[in-house]
Amino acid sequence: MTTNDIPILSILIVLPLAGSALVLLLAERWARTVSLAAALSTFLVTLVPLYLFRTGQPGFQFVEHHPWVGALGISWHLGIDGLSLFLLPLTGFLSLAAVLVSWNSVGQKVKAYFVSFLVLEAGMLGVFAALDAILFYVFWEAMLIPMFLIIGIWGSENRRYAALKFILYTVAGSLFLLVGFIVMAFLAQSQGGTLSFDLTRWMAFRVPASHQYWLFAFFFLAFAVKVPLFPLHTWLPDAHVEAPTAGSVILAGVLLKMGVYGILRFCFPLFPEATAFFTPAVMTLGLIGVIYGALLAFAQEDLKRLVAYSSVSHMGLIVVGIFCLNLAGLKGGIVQMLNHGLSTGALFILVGALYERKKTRNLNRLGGLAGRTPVLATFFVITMLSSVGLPGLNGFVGEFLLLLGSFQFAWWLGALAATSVVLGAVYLLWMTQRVLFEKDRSPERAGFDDFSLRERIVMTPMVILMLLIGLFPAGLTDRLEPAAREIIAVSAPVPARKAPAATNAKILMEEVTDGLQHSGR
Amino acid sequence: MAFSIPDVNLVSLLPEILLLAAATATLFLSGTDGHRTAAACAAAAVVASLLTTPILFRGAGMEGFDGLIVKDGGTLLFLALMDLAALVAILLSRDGDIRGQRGGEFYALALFALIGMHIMAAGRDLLVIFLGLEILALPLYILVGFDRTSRDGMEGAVKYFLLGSFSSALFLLGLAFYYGATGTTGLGAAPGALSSPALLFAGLALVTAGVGFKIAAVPFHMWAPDAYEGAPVPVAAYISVAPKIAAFAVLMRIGLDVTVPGSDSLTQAVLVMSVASMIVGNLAALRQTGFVRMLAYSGIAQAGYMLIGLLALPGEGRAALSFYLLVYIFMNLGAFAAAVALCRREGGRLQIEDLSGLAARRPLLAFAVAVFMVSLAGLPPTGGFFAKFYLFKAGIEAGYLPVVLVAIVMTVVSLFYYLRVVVAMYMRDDAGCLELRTGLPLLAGLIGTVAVLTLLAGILPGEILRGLLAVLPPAVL
Repeated sequence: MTTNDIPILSILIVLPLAGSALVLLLAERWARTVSLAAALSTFLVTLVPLYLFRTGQPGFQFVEHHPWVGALGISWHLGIDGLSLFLLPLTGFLSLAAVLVSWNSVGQKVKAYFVSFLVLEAGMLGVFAALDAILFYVFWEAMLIPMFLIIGIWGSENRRYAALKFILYTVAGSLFLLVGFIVMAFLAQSQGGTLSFDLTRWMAFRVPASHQYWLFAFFFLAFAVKVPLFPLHTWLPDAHVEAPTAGSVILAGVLLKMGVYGILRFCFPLFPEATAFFTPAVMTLGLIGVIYGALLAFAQEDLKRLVAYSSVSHMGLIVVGIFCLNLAGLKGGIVQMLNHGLSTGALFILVGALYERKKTRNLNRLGGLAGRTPVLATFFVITMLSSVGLPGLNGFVGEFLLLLGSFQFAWWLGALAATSVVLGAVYLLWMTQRVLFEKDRSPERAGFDDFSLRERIVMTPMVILMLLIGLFPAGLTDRLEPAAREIIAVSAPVPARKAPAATNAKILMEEVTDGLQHSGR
Repeated sequence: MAFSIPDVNLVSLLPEILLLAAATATLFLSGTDGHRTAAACAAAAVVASLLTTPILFRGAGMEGFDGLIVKDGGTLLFLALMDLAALVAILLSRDGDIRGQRGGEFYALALFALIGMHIMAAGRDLLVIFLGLEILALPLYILVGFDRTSRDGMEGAVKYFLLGSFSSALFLLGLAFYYGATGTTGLGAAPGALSSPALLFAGLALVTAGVGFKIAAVPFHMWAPDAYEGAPVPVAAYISVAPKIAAFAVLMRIGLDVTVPGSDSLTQAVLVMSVASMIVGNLAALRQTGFVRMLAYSGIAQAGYMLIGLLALPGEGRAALSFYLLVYIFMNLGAFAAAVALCRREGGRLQIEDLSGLAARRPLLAFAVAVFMVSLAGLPPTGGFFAKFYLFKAGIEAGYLPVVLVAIVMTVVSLFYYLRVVVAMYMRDDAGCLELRTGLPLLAGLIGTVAVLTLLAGILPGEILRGLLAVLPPAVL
């Protein structure tokens, strides 16, 4: 592990918070500029670890460790590895895009909006950088309130319902995670001596089999809500449809990734046997999500709802891929997390731009836009193709690796997972045809503009990134590989790891069970 | 003839003596502005009582009256918590716009109640605790019905009085049983050979039930919603927090000092009370439209959470409960303070709907209320999160995982009604038909301070916790 002189990860978390404080203090006309500056500087700082990161070095880098609540074994412990390395810039990038997207579309309570957004960004960065379970939990939950406000205040008609549904679903899942964390800390105490919520400590010991299964279930529930895995996905379409454009971008681009991140960070390394045990069940749910989500997407008339259900389908595929627990599947899963964030984020920006112009998202009222807004249409087609997984664009890299992993796991799994690509192509191409081509079905033919300079500035780097990842995937996948290998190494229930402890295992288990069940007296 | 003078040690009653002097003095204040002077006087007395705490604590506390009164670290901590709650409630009452408030009698009654709580928490003898309970109860009955023109106030006061007397009677019966079984009313001495363990068990169960009324735990909660709603809002704030702290101090003393053969069933009873309070309180709060009534049911639910701390005795329960109570003072009194700031001058009770659009009209007040609601719901980064977290941790450590799971499910339920307030304030634009009270700098400052403290308890819980653990002596295991 390395310790740095400059606490770069803390700076990352504090920067947006400082920005939000500044927005709060200054007059409303400064709100946009200040938050743009804060988001931009945060994004630039997220790039620093990308350059200084030493690929191949095991363990966490940029580690910071200070006691926070000493009496309870909670510390301010930050650090990143290959898994979180790219998620920080993704968060920074999408937050910057979100600020630009909201430049003109937020009319009321501008200060409150940008404050919520910057607090949200700090929370997201904190989630990806935290190495202490309670710190992770605090960021994970602290992020909910700003998102709740963003959906509930600046959303469309049914926003209050969607906001409450979003927060109730997420909190219901994550409170079980909290119980899991507390029990894990006691397990750490019974094995290591001191009560600790430190993730690195947790990974150093083996969770007794008697506890693995239900702890896995508690952890997984919280993450599955966030992914969202079928049948816990029903909050997502409502939240997406009602949220403002920038809210949808962040929701799809970053928040959903946290579910997968949590599974990779906590479930796999801590509960390898339970992971193996639950793999068939999770894969079944993932596959149902893949197919059911795609079919639902096909049935939608609302563009945002369509993209939301496509997220359910794509995220299902990622879950299936990572649970294969082979190199291709894991690499594909991590790559696809980034790709999905990029492509779906871009799709939501485009849908938002369309809505601003036509005041409708109904597929039956759009059409023939290619001729009138060629720039928008070009961006739309590229983004759509990236989401479909066309070779040469980023989506292909991830989907190919995911499917490869699935086929290596079992041929039928690969075959079923591949339906996502086919179905995805069907509904996305069909949607594009209805929106951009055919004839204009809107009732009034008011004139509207093509993409403004601001919108081009937002979309151009996104498309460049899609092309870059699509054409030169090695730069990404090579740096992810050590992290993926490490996950496989710690997650595979190898008999060799079990053997030396076999004699002690029973005693240990009994000790822990006693420790947990001893009543107060 | 040998005649031993009991070791009185009057210094141990210094805070109570100060409070009594102030209470008596305020009774003489009258005139149009009398109640403001009385408020200042009462607040000063409470602050003085708070300041004596470190003096008494020096040297790990003291005892008085031959061990009838105990002022050790834990007791002093609870006394300080009560003083803090009383201070906030008194400052609230000053701007509380309470009808019928003329002279100093309101504050005298509040101080008498505080003295009762002090004696309850410091007593190590059931008879002394009973005296404290009665000194606490009588002024509060009057305070609930202080507004003699309000029918609701009268109804609440009568309900509170009837059920409260009933609970006192239960306590007294329990005391008699205890005396019959052990031959003493003291809690400190461990009973030797028992003639009848069943009698002792029955006695303790009745005592617990009698005290259970004061924390409004199910099934002893019936009085709470009507009393809270009928009472002037500052009084409701007072009885929602301060007597709870005193009652928990008593329950903790019984739980720590008394070892009974049948104590397992007593633990079971506390467990049932805890689970029932969480379920009934939260589910009933869901259906409330009145702001204070919602807070009343939320208080019942919160009592259910706190009882988990009692289950976790003698482990970490005491520290967890103390931390929870401290944060509870801030967030619950903050919510009530907001209700005082918003109270409709005419036309009855404050509804949750009345808060609609508050964020646009009074952004700072709305933000403070949002902080209190989020903290009551137990979400980070507020103090409520760490309070709940610590309590759950203590509960799991003591082996009560199923109870903690019930608490967690009910926390999700509670989110719904707490956030409904936030939704009303921030997500509805129709301005509520609420006449806002202005020109109350003291009240505004109070709400601001309490909101900041609620947030601070969530950001720097380590410092607070270290202080608590330093004061609390390690429990006897």
